[in-house]
Amino acid sequence: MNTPEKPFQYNRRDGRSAESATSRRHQLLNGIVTKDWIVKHPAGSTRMLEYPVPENHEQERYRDALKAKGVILGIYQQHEPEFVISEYVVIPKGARLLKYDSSSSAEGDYSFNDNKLFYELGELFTAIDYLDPYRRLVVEGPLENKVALTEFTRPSERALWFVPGIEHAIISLPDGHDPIDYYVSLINETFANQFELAADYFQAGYMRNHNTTDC
Amino acid sequence: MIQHTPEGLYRPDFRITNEGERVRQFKDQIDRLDGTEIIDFNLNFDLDFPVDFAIKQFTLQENNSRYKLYLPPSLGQDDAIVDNFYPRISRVGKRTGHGVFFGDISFTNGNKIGVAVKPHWTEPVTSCLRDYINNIGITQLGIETLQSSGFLLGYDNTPAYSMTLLEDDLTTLDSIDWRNFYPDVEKDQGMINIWKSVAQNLAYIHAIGSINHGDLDARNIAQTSAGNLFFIDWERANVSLQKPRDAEVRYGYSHPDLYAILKSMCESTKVGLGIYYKKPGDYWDSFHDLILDHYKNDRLEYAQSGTHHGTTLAEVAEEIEELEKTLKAEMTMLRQIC
Repeated sequence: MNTPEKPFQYNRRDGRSAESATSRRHQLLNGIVTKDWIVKHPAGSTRMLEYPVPENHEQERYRDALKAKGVILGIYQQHEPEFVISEYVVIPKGARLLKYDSSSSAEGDYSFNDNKLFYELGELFTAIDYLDPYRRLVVEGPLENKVALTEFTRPSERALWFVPGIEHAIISLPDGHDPIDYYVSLINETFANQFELAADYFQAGYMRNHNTTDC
Repeated sequence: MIQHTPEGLYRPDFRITNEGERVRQFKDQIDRLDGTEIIDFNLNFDLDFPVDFAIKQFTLQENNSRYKLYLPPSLGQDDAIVDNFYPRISRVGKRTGHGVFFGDISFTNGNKIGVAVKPHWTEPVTSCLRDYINNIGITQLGIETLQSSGFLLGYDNTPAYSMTLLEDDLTTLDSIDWRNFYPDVEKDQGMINIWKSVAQNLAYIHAIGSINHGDLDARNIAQTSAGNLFFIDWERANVSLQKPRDAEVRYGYSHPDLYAILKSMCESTKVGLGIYYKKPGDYWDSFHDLILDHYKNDRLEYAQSGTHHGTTLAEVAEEIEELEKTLKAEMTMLRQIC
């Protein structure tokens, strides 16, 4: 049995699974995600997130549309919706927030440097636009804890994802405000000192998808 | 740029070849392989230089092949034929001097292993074997690190390659933005814990036999999603269980590793972590709190618990006193030049 002194001890004798917190470097806790943990079991380990179910039908629709586009991290666990207040997602063990990352200018076909990162980030955010083209929907800041990065991707795979629960952070901009200006100002505020030219590459990625039809 | 190696071959420096070219060269070598062979190294840690001995033994064997992929027994792929290499994209692991890259090696029997591939250009065979066998030695001593997953010796003017299993939840300390950590270190307990773990791991490896890492840059300190912290890339390490002769010899092992960390903390983010770079305050006190205190306590504790602890304790105390003096002077110097 777990005790306060050793809260996550793995009980090896009976082979039952045990839990441990994910390292702070990797944690995706962002005010929406309430728990990020690793479940150890005899066959290995699995990383999971817990966060509240959508608050209304609109959020549910956002979640389903973004899931269908494949831009939300992880695999959702099935549950009976009427009985639960939380959703659970199994995510890759290495996923982390952009928040703590240092700058990387490494050039190469297989290097995910700052320029590529912000370009892909721009592309990712256009998925929000298409949820409702008439309402200027955006992700509420801070942005650096709404996006997760996965390492060691294959060339056709996505490296940036929305952190599960993103539907809780989608807001509508007032009339006269442009989503791209909103994002660029947030990115300059957060990343300008950390990543040179972040906003330029973000804008390029965002506009590229705006000129096409899909994310 | 062309390098002349002691083996008498002209080899290009990887820096003039781009990443794509390095991967392509590796794929070419994979295509020319005529099989795999399982090889086991059981090091004799009673020797002063067990790794040198193992390298010599291996290179004296007549049936070495430059067209084989050597695999450790744990991967059990005897007679498997390598099919292809599929590179992966990453953000970490890009500051290495060797030009490491990542990917999956597939075999014709359907198996696939994710690997980190390290090319060796200068003295390729010796460098590759040293890297591979050092890593094996560290694992055999029960020290956590990446698992060795094979090597290729290369031929003609090609590099040799050593490989470790890819752990895709791994990040290295150079991938963290440390610039806002100091002076308000107290606000980030997670980062404080990282340095405490570094100090404790280092104290442990310096306490057993004659072991040092030899290249303890932040890029060689890794952390997993479960929070395990360990050192990687042991190519320049000394791996032996022989008890150091005296405090001076012990210092010769411990000082380079501690200095590498200190230097990295003081340098700008272009080459180091930038923790103290152009910051006000007393860096020495901070370094002492973050690393040296934990290191010192653990070293003295290990010394006290061993056999002949009276002698060892005195030697370790002397070594640590010298370490403190030297590192303090070095930090003053780094502060002036950084």
